[in-house]
Amino acid sequence: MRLMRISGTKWLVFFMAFFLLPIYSAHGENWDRIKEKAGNIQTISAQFIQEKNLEILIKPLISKGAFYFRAPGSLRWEYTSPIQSILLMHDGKVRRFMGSENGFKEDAGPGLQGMEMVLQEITRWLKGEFSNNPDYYSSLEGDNKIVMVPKNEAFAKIIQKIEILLSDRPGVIETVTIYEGKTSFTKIRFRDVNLNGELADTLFESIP
Amino acid sequence: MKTEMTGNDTRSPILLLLGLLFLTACSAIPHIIAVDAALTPKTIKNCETVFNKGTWQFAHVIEATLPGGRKSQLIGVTEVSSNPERIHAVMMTIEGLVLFDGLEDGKLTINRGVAPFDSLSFAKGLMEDIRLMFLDPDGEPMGAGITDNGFEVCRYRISNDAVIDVMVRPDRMFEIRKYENEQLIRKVVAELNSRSIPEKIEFVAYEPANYRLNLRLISAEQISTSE
Repeated sequence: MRLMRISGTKWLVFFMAFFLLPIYSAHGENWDRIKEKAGNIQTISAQFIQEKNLEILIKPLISKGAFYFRAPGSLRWEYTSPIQSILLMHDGKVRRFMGSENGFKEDAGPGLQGMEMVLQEITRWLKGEFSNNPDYYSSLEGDNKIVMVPKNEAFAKIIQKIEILLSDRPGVIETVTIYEGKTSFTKIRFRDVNLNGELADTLFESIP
Repeated sequence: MKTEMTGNDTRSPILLLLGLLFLTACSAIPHIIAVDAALTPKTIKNCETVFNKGTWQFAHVIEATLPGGRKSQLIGVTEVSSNPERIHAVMMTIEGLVLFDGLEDGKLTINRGVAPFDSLSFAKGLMEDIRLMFLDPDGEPMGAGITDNGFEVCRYRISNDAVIDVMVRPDRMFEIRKYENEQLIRKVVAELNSRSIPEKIEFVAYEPANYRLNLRLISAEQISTSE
């Protein structure tokens, strides 16, 4: 029996890490070049398909949604199917909305308070401080794969590693795979990725 | 006839309403109206159709309303076998992080638990709730008949102090109620789809903790039909 304790906030910080990874293109370049490139990207928008694989599952669970980011710290991570959920981060405020038959309801749970921590983490990533992250080791494998391994022992029991596969298009990520165990992993495929397009304030301030 | 109400009388309807609400939440075991003995086997058979036989895997979107009113969304994957009884339950966040993975096959095993879903008491309660929703109550019904509303009902005594009523409604809905020490502690209301699988389930726990789960079916796969 394995029992693990880890705060929801810390998990969220870890989870949010890969939201921002599209800004780092690592085609044969070292971390300094990645840091340099990080300054060039101001906005990202993409559709995503999330595929959850578990040993118990006969077929993977598929979720779909959209992702929007605008520097320095505005984010919208939206699931449209099979669940409706929107996470907004803007001007240092974090809000989560849950969809139901009666529309969206705001989740004002205490867990959201810890999201300030996430914003601080994001700011650091935006500066390209990627390889010196205190929470995980990062390495480049080949030309297009970033592997992140948690440093913290409690983290490592929950998330073994994260693999980010970069596409041929500079600055664009193809997939992110989060391994919880040998047979349990979540693969997120990004498509229709648009860099430095115009993203309105309302996208990060209101729903839907 | 004209009736004058005093100040106390004015409060009476409110007190009555509060009383009714209290009674609804803590309602005692209702009376079952007996049916013709010849119809009893048919009623029992109808009650049994509520539960899918064999081994099934369900995936649900779960909206949980926790004590204090806080709401949370989760995804649940449940594999249930009717004979021998076995439950494998996985709960995860919408982002895919597995919060709980547990197996009940005569003994309870937690394969993975992330706080606050890592306690044995949570696992035990979850398995009992899943059993109530998806598996036939143990034993033969101690009674079968109709409710005051005219629904077919079967009553099972599962322990000295606990009783489960399974009610079949004519509108492709069914209800399951669990009473402990003659007080209602769990209520399940489910809507069947065209495959006779619960499409939507509303689960309410009254005691000892009050919480509500609304389950919406994502997928249902029959793994085996063996009994």
